[in-house]
Amino acid sequence: MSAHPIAKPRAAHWFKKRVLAHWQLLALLVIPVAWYIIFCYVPMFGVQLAFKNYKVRLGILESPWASPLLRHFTRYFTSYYAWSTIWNTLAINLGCLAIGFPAPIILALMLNEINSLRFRKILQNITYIPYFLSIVVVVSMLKLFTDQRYGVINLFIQALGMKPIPLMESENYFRPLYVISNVWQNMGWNAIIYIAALAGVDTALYEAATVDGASRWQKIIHVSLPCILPTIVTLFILRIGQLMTIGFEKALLMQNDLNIGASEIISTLVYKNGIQKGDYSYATAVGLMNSVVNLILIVTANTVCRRALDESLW
Amino acid sequence: MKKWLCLVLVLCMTPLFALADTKDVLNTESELPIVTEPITLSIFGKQGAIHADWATMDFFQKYQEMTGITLEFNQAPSQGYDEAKALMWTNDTYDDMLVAPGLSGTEIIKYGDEGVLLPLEDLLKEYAPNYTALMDQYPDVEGRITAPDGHIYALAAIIAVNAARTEKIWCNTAWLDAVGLNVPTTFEELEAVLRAFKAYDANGNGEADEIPIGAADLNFWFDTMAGMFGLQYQFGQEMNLSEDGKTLTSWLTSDQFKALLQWSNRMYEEGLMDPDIFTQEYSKFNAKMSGQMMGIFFNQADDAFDSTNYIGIAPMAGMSDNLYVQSGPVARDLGTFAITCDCDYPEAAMRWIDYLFSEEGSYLMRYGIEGKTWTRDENGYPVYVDGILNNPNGSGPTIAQFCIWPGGGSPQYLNDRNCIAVCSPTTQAAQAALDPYMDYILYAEPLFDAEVNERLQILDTDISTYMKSCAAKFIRGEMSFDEWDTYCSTLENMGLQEWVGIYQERLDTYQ
Amino acid sequence: MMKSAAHRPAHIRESVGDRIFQGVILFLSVLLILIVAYPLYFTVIASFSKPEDVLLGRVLFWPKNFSVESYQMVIAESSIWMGYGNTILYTVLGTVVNLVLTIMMAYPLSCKETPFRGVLTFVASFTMLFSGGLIPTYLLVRQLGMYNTIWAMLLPTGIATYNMLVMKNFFQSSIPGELKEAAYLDGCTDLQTLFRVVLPLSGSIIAVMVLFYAVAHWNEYFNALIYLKDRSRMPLQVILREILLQNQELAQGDGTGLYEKMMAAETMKYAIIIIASVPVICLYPFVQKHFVKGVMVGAIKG
Repeated sequence: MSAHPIAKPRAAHWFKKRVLAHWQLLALLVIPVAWYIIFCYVPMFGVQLAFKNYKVRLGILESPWASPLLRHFTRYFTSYYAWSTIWNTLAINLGCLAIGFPAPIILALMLNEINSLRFRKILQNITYIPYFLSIVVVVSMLKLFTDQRYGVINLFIQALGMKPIPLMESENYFRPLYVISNVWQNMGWNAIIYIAALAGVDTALYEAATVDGASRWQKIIHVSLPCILPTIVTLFILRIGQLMTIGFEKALLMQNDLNIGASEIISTLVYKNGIQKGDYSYATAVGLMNSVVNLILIVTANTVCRRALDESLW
Repeated sequence: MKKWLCLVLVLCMTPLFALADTKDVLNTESELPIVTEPITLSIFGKQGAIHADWATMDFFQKYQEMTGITLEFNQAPSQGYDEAKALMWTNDTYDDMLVAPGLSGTEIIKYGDEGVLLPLEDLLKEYAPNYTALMDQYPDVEGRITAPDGHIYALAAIIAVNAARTEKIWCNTAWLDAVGLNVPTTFEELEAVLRAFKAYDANGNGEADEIPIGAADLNFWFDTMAGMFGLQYQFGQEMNLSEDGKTLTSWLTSDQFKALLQWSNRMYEEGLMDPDIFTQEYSKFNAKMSGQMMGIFFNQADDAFDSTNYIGIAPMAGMSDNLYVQSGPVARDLGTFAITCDCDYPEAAMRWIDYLFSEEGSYLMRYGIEGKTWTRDENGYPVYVDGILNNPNGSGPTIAQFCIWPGGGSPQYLNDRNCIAVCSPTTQAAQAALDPYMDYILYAEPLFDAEVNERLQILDTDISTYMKSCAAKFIRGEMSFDEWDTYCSTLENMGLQEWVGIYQERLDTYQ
Repeated sequence: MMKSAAHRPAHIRESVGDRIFQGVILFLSVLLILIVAYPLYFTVIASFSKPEDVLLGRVLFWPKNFSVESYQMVIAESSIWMGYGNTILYTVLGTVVNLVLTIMMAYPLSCKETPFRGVLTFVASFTMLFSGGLIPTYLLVRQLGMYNTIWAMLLPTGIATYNMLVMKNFFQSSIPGELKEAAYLDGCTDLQTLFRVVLPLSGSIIAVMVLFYAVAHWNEYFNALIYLKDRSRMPLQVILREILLQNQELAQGDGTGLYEKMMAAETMKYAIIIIASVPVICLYPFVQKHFVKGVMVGAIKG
């Protein structure tokens, strides 16, 4: 038991060195942490809805537990489409990750390489605007442009001498359309953060590389990219933590009888079977299931990134 | 003697006095005013986007005067209404009455069962002579609004006009004249007409842009076409009732349905059927209707297009011995009115809603104040004053300034006398062509208890999703009819029989 | 913007490879502009066309049957100016609240000296995955007495964890540790370091945060619908959606609308985007200006 007397001064020392010396940092945290507790953690008691038969007159706390407890979860899997919606969700998200994640990085790097200031501003501003279009408008345009007879995309394809493609009327094209329109809409907006990070890169580093005779490509690889790597890693980990999540709105708007095999995703199925009917326990249960998967993914991604790149979220 | 009797009665009922006094305010002399001393009832409901503020509407203003019941308005706007309604249930106290709240079957059962909504059947018997009379007149109403536990938690609108519950088959007579053919009555003639529309530039603009036959989407296509192949929509689902009226069968795997798909496939391949049917939004269909771009199409009324060149025609013969026209139930809109557990005057509330289901009450509800927005014709029937039906802003938004029914979902009694705003004479005439095919037993979609409902919800979504996606592929030729058996067995695996069984069980209770 | 020119001193001639590289980049950029700009251009011409022509694919490169009707119908609604006022109020105040709270959280979490920073970061990240959902949050807002007050528009959205993590990451990676150490050696406290050293160097990230938060407030409508009751408090997006809905509802309901009105919703949705977004889109150039400031890091360090 000799550890005890030693531990005490060590704890005291730690307290003195870390806590007392940096009390101002802790003081700064008080209000935001209180905010997190009040506005994020307090409402989290509502998660128990997933395990309860919610009775409005009893309130969330007093409502009886569902029997069996996992009833609302298993209900999801009684649907014939349950597994295919999970796959469809993942497939769309993986597509968005593979194309949508690098796109803003490439755009930011490209912008950084353009010499003409005016041209750069034009490109930056134009790519940023689509973010402000509502989903309804984006999907309406998508439908108009992909129309087999008079949509611009098919007119273009026909001009090249090929047959028009039933883009909206096929399961095969749903994912590409979803992903590409997402990239189109969000690329410029998501690039902002990288553009800002690139602007913060020390110019001395570029000068040194130039003196060493590096080409512009080499400067991108050896100067620009490493400098924005921490940002990339942060955003990448956060993105991994959303692999099971897609909002229902866009998929539902794009959905039709012909592409439903690819467009029915977790959130649209929950919308049809739960939310639309005011069944919040069911919606909460499926949401919770997604969150747990997302949590596992994000923790894994964080650990991998910490080990491999020495960069991580926490 | 009488006084003594009263006193004895009162003394006997003293323990019940607390309950009895909510009725004391009622006027027993006549129908209106409902109460003898002023009371206030609060209402919650969905104020449609085109509605004026409910509190300022003529209908509510006048009705408060007539009934002696002051209303407190807590309605929510239609934007974000579903969320507002979901959150409304979590409140500590509820508004007395839910008026046009758009309750779904699930909600009626759930909140009825939890005691938020009062059971209305006893109140109906005592205080709702008009609604009860309508229930007697239209027997299928009771089956539709009664919960499996035997209670009625919410009242439905009564749509006593066939024309407001069916899709008409509109045919372009100008095009018929142009190609020199008569109104088709059989499938053979129909095909000839459609081919002629396509081949002979029926609209005479020199382009082959005519759409011989179209519908808003696949649902609408089947709704009308299925009846011509002898298929019904019992309980609002794809099911037929046997001859003896005892057995339900799903027709999704039947030969008739296959025949319907094969015929549709032929129409599609020949370019006679609008290919947009699988993907278009309603607004696009709307544009085609008003642009007179279709030869034959299905739509409930003629309000969205100029019907000068169109007539409503009867279903085609030739594919089945029995032709049916699918129609919505009389109690078309469920959950249009309910009384909550916090209501202090349920009797008064019941009488409040009941009057609107009387003939005179329905005029007030649908036409506003007499002499201001409507007058009576020689038969005593209501007519809107000039400038309402022909208002440049459209009749709906104009009427919505003083009445709550435009936009749908309100507690209303629609009959032949008061339906002019929704059923034009042309629409009524188009309905006449369908009437002979509506004379068969058609059960309305009932309410199920929570447990069954949960299962049904999933089965419904699965089956209709799968059916429609396969049907679309069959019609477009992306799936060959060799795969029909695979389609059938997949449906069976999804629980087609279980699905039919749920309705069969309900049907059995009706016997 | 000056920076990229600066990192290529003029006296070093560009090699052939670099010039080809620049050419490729320019080509790709022009292509990108064309692809991105067409749908934007379409939004504009669609908003000036007749609905049927848009729906039936007759509008491709020019407005067809030019009309400003959809704009007139939107502007005719007098409450959109009230909506603009409310939106500006919520955006300005909300962004200030966001910025203060976010810095207060992100800065300590970025400092190695802060106790429990790993745990706290996880605690914050966790809220991105799990949330109570609509009903409990609504009940909370009601219980806090914020229902139908401006607070409901400012506080529940106080910190966007995503933004907070981005900011923390910036403090960690872009503010050189040596500078902070030097400040400590000069006797600066943590707060003084934040205000005198860190924040002055964080112009670009603050600009980005202002943009992110301001745009989020500008586009906000869902919270307003749920937490606000009075129409006089509603922000622009709610009012605009209401106008759109008025026309869309006609197409559904009990079939009593006027065809033209039903169709108007089709082009109005494009017009609404333009009316609602032009002000925020104009915000970007102001934000861009601040991206240059990061250059100073090098200057101070050198």
